[in-house]
Amino acid sequence: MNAEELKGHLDVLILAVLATGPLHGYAVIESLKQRSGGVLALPEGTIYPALHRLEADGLLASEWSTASGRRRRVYSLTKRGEKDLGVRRERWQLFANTIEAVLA
Amino acid sequence: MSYLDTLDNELALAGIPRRRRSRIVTEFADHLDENPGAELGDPGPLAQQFADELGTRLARTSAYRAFALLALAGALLVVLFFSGGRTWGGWVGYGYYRITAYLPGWWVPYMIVCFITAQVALAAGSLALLRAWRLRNQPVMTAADAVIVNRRAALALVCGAVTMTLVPATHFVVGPTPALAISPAMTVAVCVLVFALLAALPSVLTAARLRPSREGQAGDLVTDLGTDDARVTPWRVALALSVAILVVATLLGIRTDDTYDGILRGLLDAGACMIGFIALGRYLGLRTAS
Repeated sequence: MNAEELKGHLDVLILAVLATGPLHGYAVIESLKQRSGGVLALPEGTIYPALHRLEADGLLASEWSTASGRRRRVYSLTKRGEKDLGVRRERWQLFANTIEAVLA
Repeated sequence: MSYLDTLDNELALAGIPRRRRSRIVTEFADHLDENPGAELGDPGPLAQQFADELGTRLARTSAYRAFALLALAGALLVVLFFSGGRTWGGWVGYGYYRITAYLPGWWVPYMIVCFITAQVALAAGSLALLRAWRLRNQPVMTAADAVIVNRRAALALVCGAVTMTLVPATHFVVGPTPALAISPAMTVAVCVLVFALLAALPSVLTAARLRPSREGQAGDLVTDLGTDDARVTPWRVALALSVAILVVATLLGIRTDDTYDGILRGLLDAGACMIGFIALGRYLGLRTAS
């Protein structure tokens, strides 16, 4: 799947990945790749503007942590983010079911 | 020059504040430490993406914050006037007690400034909110829209702060009048609000530096109202608003048995509305050059 196709769904994918627990930027990308069997691949830098945007929208929270002497920013889902993810999941399910019904 | 240095430079060029820039570079450095071969993308477009998205959000948030603070300021002014008005039981300035009756002549220009800044703050704050709300679902607003939202929010905050400083100052410089009797608690509330209004300005300035790169027209007052009706033009809207102000002021005058005073105030308010539209219309994106 190319980056443009993925762009419209990036927010919900990030929220879904972070629903499993707090992660830093690199781990978010790795989790996305892993969970999609390598299908969801995008220029890695583009994840960071999205993370900052979601944080600015109050859907994510972040804090500094230290790993192997390095500072890293760890992101987690806020209550609002959890709610938003639930809404987006429902919408996606409805959309996917509808398309599936038409294509079947 | 390393990738991280280039990214830092590009972020600075895009107007990203130093603290945010440092955070982004640290995150990218951590990413490269995890995977030195990672393809993070071209620093220029990446920096612009940060500026687009953060600039849009910051402009919107600044507009919402400016309006919320001005709403508080408005409520405080109403309480202030009504607590003064309690002593004579009427609306400020209407009826027998006119505020100018208690002020020296040289105070009139001061009151005119108060009047103008209050009106401009209300108009600019409401318009900032209107535009920000209209664009609430856009991930990235156009550079022209961002300029308009930021200008409106900045002007609203400055004028709000000036009004909130000048109006209560009357009490302390001239002394208490029936229309302005300020308690110590009210003085503290006004000071806190002035501080909050001024404290909100830096985020508007930051938003102004983070101008999104998306091209497009900002539109005008009709765009704000979201109507496609060709009969609705910015000039007609301004004129209709002025007439509405005149009617309301006249009705208030009639209600307080001073029709002449009501009409006079109505004409003054309506005139101020039109003058404001002419003077600030283009700057605040209410009308286009044509």
